[in-house]
Amino acid sequence: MPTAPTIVAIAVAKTTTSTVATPSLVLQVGDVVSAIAITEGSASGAWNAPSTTLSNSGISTLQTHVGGTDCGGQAFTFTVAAGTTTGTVTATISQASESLTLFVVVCRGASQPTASQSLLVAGSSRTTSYSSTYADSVVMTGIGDWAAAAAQSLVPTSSTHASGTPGPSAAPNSDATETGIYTHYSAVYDDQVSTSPISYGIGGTGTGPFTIVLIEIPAYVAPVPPDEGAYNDNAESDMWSFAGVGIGDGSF
Amino acid sequence: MATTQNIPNTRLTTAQLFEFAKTPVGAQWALITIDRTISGGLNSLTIAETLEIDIERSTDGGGTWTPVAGITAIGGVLVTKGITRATETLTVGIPASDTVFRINVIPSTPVRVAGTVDYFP
Repeated sequence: MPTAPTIVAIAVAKTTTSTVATPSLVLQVGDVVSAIAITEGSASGAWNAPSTTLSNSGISTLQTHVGGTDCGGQAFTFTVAAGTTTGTVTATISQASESLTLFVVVCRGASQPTASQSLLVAGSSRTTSYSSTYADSVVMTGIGDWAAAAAQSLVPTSSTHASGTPGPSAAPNSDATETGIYTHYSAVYDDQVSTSPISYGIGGTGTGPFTIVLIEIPAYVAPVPPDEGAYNDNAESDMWSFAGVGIGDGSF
Repeated sequence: MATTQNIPNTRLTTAQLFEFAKTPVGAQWALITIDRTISGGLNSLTIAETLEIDIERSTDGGGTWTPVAGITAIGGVLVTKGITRATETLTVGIPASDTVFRINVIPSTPVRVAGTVDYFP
């Protein structure tokens, strides 16, 4: 069983001016940065490409949803590369004066997520059931309630981390903000042991609409080295290669 | 450009599976959209009634199926900030070009369902 990624940094940044950046993050080469941005959805402004001042091998956008009749959402990720390892992460929407929240989780000992390790829901569902592709992944969620209802509890709730017990583990960070325009939530769960469906979202009642963005950050899996046994398959031939000097051909 | 497959207008009295053709080469995302507004659809229900939609995928041509994600949509005419909710959407990533998706739709009460599955590069 792989070792769950280590969460080394968490940042939640908010703005009312359509561009939001985290504080400066001090990271290491190989750290996997995953981010979820949620907008108030007052208008259908398109997402601009996310950016960072950290050296990286390319930012991958995992999910994008334009708001306007619900909250907008964006998920992206990148791996810190050699060079500048201290810097900020920024999300931007092409809509003036739009409230925007950016939630960033940095993991060490992780694999960069792919699109198939993410999802985005928009509608009346308060939760989404998600089946992790690997055991012991970190899962992060960002949720927007367009109705700006009073903050509800997160699902699953925090519990004592127990690596030997399947199910939701501790939530190192949760944040619920009601701005009067939208209600934003962010949560990260370390070491989701099980790959069975787990329900992520918020509790309570109300019909939203809700925008739920989820990223699964898998543990790092080292590449399998080539089979060196293949080079030994010709040992007999190697012996015969010495036959010219009387070795291996029984001609002593 | 997206490739679209239809979820045909179907009256559900119990759970039903809808299976779709293999995802096109190069597609990275599958967007499932359910239309709430069709006659007899989600908007015709009460708020206490629900429609569960679960997505499964297969990467071996339908031999084995793995759960991916699911939602539970709420019935009724849902109005927020003067806007009546018209759709339920769920976007998931596609792990390989030979992926096949199916959705299991489970109503709490008889209801009509219709929509689309769009594959995006």
